[in-house]
Amino acid sequence: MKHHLILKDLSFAIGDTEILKKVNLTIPHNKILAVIGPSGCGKTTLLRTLNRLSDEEKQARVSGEILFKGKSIHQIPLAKLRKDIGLVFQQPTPFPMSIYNNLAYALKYHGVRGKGNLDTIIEAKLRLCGLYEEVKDQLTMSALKLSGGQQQRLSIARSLCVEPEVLLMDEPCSSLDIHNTKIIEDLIVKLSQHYTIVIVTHNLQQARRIADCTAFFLGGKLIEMNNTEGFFTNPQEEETKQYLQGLFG
Amino acid sequence: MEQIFEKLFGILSIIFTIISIVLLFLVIFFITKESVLIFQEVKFFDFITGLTWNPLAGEPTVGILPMILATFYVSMVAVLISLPIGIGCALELAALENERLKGFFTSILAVLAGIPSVIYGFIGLLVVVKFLERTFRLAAGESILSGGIVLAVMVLPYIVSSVAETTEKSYEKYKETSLALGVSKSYMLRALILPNAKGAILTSMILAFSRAMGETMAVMMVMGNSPILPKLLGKGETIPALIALEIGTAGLGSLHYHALFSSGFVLMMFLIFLNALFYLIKKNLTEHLE
Repeated sequence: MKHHLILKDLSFAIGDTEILKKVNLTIPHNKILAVIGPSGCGKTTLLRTLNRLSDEEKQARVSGEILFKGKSIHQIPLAKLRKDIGLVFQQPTPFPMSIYNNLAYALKYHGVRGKGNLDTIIEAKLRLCGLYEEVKDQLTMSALKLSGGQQQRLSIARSLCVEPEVLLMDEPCSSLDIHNTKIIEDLIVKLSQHYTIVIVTHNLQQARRIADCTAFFLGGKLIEMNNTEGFFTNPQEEETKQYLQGLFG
Repeated sequence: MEQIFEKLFGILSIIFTIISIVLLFLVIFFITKESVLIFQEVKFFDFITGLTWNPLAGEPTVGILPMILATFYVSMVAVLISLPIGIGCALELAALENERLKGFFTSILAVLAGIPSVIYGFIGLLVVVKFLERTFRLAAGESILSGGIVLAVMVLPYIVSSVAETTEKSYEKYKETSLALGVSKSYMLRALILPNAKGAILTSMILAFSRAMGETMAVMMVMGNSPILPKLLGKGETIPALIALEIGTAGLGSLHYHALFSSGFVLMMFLIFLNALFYLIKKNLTEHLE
């Protein structure tokens, strides 16, 4: 299996609070990796260290290494790194501007010029996220007027616009209803043909439905990682078994 | 005992609320009452479009167009100078991550707003007026421009605080989403935070403009106070300055006296209109945001 990101002894702390402790993890290429674990186990922080958003925190301390396509992420210019490794947040956060401008925002920064070029990319990404048919006549409408599910798909389309290779998703369905969750899950599966996806989720069933591999975190440590089938049917570690049985959560 | 206290407190707060509302209406009523008398002798239209102000002549004329224009002119100059500086400050404040530095700048702005206007006038006279005299080789530097510059400093805190209120909020809200797209902070300020603050900028302009129109002392000290049509580098007299300078010497009940009240009335009407506009836009914006 090809590996896209490799974490070596990754630790992360804010001040004296250790959040990640010596995590060793390999993230496979163009697969869906689900990261599960109870609240406060460091799942979200893990995502944020991958695109160095965690560096924005005050008193952040990182040790260990993260290799992206064999190169330390600290050697990659920040703008490039974050363009290549996109992040979709838990809460859909459309910018207070039109749907079109939401998508053009980062494109323009990264040097895409000309209305024709912008239009092509924007239409393609909206189509990919199944949003184009719904909004094609309203591209100048404020994105704030979209429904929650549409906003989250817009957020995903926005992240995809800058052509990332990896897409990190932090509980992207937690604020959505069942119907929209289904739409996003189908989208994620579709996207995994072209993108490496790491999804943090609270929802074990969701991990089971869509992920190729699943990793379980507890107290900032990686307890176990396996392909999803094996992970759920034959967990190796005692903590994993207890968590899957719902003994703590 | 506790209950009586509760009740008493409730009644007192209602009374004080009523007092403040009544006060406002009394002010409007009194000024209107003292103003309307003059319109038996001078037509309202002639009053606000008349070019000469000579209430003490044998045949007195009271036209306040030069003062109206000077008031608008100097306020406009002030807002135009202050706006870019204020917007820049507000953006910088929003993006400032260092809380201590942010607190320091905010308190500096508060101090700036707290300086008495007579001090501003004083500094304006010493610095701005002198500077204009030297730069433009003027006989006298007292002018609309010097008034505008002094006023610009005085309204700056209002512009900064009302724009920063919006920019800080939206910076907090969108910072991570924007950073995660790989764009720089300065691009975010330019392409996201600034356009999103359009409404706040507009309301801050109106707020600053109405502050500037009502300002008296500092403007009076640096503008030369001649009731002539204003030019940027020429003297001018604003309505507040006119009233402040002449009300003491105007005979009670005379045409002069009532004309001064009427000009106050005109100023007040402009300000009420601006405030209503401010309120409407602000309301529209908050609804839009929700």
